[in-house]
Amino acid sequence: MIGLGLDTAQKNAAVERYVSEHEVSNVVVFYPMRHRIAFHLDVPTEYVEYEDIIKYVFFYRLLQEIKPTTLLVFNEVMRTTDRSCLHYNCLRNYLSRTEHSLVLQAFPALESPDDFMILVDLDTRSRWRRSQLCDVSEKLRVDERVVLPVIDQICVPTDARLLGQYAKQKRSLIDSIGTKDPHTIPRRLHLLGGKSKAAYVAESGGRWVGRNQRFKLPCLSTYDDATEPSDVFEFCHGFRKWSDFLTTTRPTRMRALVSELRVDQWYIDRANKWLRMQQDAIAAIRDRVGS
Amino acid sequence: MPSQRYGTESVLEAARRRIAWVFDHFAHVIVSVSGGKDSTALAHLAILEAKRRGTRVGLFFLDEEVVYQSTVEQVEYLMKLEPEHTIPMWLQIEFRLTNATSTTEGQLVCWEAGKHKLWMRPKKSWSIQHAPWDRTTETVRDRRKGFGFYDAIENFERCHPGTAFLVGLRAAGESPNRWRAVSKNPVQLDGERIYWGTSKGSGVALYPIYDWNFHDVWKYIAEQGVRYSRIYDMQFRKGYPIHEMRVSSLIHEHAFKSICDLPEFEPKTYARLIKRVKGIALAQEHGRKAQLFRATKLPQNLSSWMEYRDHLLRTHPDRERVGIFIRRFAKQLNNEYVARQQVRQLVLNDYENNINIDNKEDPREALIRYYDKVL
Repeated sequence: MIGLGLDTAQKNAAVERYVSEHEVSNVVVFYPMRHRIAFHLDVPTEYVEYEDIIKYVFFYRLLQEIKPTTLLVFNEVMRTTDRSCLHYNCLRNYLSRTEHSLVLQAFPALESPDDFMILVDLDTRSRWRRSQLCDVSEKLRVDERVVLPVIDQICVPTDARLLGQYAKQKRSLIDSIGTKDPHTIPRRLHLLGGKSKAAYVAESGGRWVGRNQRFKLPCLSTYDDATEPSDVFEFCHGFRKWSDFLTTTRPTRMRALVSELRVDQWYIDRANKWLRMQQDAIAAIRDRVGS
Repeated sequence: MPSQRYGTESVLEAARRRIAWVFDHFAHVIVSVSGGKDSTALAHLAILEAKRRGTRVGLFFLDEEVVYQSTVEQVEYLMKLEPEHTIPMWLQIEFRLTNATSTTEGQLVCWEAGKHKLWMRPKKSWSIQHAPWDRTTETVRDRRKGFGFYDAIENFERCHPGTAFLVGLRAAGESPNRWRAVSKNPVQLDGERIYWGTSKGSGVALYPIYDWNFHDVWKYIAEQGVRYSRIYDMQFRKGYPIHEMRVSSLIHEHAFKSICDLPEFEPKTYARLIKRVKGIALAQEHGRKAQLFRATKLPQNLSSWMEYRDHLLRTHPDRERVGIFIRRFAKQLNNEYVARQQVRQLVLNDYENNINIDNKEDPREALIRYYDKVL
């Protein structure tokens, strides 16, 4: 079964229910460091961090120790869009030892609706391994409770000096990009509006999330540290980090600071587009959910 | 674009029907085997058909010397499976093989005369150890490269006129190029047009399992209880992706990564290989590193892939072969995206152009232009 959008309590309840309804002798939980979780179960439970999944010391031991009565819980294990990555391959190997598994994930996709097939592969033991979501003809076992946040835009005034600085830096970045990653361009430009946003944040208070702690504001945390719903001081570039932030903090409505720099508008449009992509994925999944 | 449609017949039934058709139309049938899963499944199907008819099928293996021991054992297993219904054709002759692991020894002469003490293993007493064709009419594709792998196959096929060569080539689930290779020269026979084969002079190459996918092959092997190379088990346990699970030669451009895990999979094979071929230790240590064989990261003191490529062309130790690269690169686009791939060819000594170069505009440039426009 795939549990989408479950909070910690719901995840706990889902695992407890599964253990009580099936003959489960032990549980192995796979989780990434950012989404550490603890279940309160009566059966022995082992927690395996995502990075350890591929390590020999875990891989061969787990292959031996996972029994037909072992429940495998995959908590937020979708970390890359590469469906054939070594981590997923190892998880599929673990799955060959038991019929009991639970896949728990906050959002169905990282970059495109087809990312959901990574979870389907885990739930169906790769029956649809080479297929896309639109090709899946059988009913999927999905408990879908995703709540997508709404982002309200707050405009922050920008002076002409900053606009001039922005234009100059943009040209400089593009001209000197060389063999560097082109994504450096929006990443670096987005930081420029920080000062005017910091002034707004210092006045208005509240909890905010930003790229780093360069302004040393007590109300501002980074994407890696944020644990409670926060408004967006500046966007992160990678969708995995963005998804991790939303998964951990579970906001329903959030504000985002947007200066008059074009890169800020580009980032908020991109975030809204990502949310629409999640809606599309959820709609496609709902069409395929069986009873 | 070709598309797959499901019919009423399973791929296994279709393959059996095709193989029966081949035996009906050809007096001599030879299966090319490599020790891999596809040729194992095909050879097994052909052997069963030969047994059913009380006839024999040839099993042809061109021994590249530098292969897994498991491959050797697998081919031997197939050749001894039904000895009364098979004709073993294990070819162990001298030919040249690209060595992707060294630029100073760009080619390995397999089974080189006078170096028998260095060979990976002794020749089989029952193998074909001298070219079975007329050496005066022997053909070589490229004299500069010398008598190579494909020359050996072509000459062997030519000395068996009127024979059907069965090849375990699969097109389902593979690239459109593979599909094109299967269907571009259909065979005309008795008014029938066979799309799963190609004419080759007086003989034909036929692909009875062309519509099988990866899973069909494994399903057949499991259901029939056929033995398969144990290297697949090791690669599977190690989490190899499907496209990297291969058992071919250990030193060519597509397979050098297998050397990284060779000490773990087959330590004895590795110990022999390191004495036999130059560059093996380097490939074992650096095969997966971004800066060297994979060429995904620039070395520290170079600022662009074009600079790196030009540096390699200037300093390549084999001045004769570097001309092949210069002529080829002159026909390609001059941008960072293409230059990185050219570097990869140079580092892997791919003078035969086996690693395709995607000759197109740099996608990074398109992304930079996009950011310039929208930001």
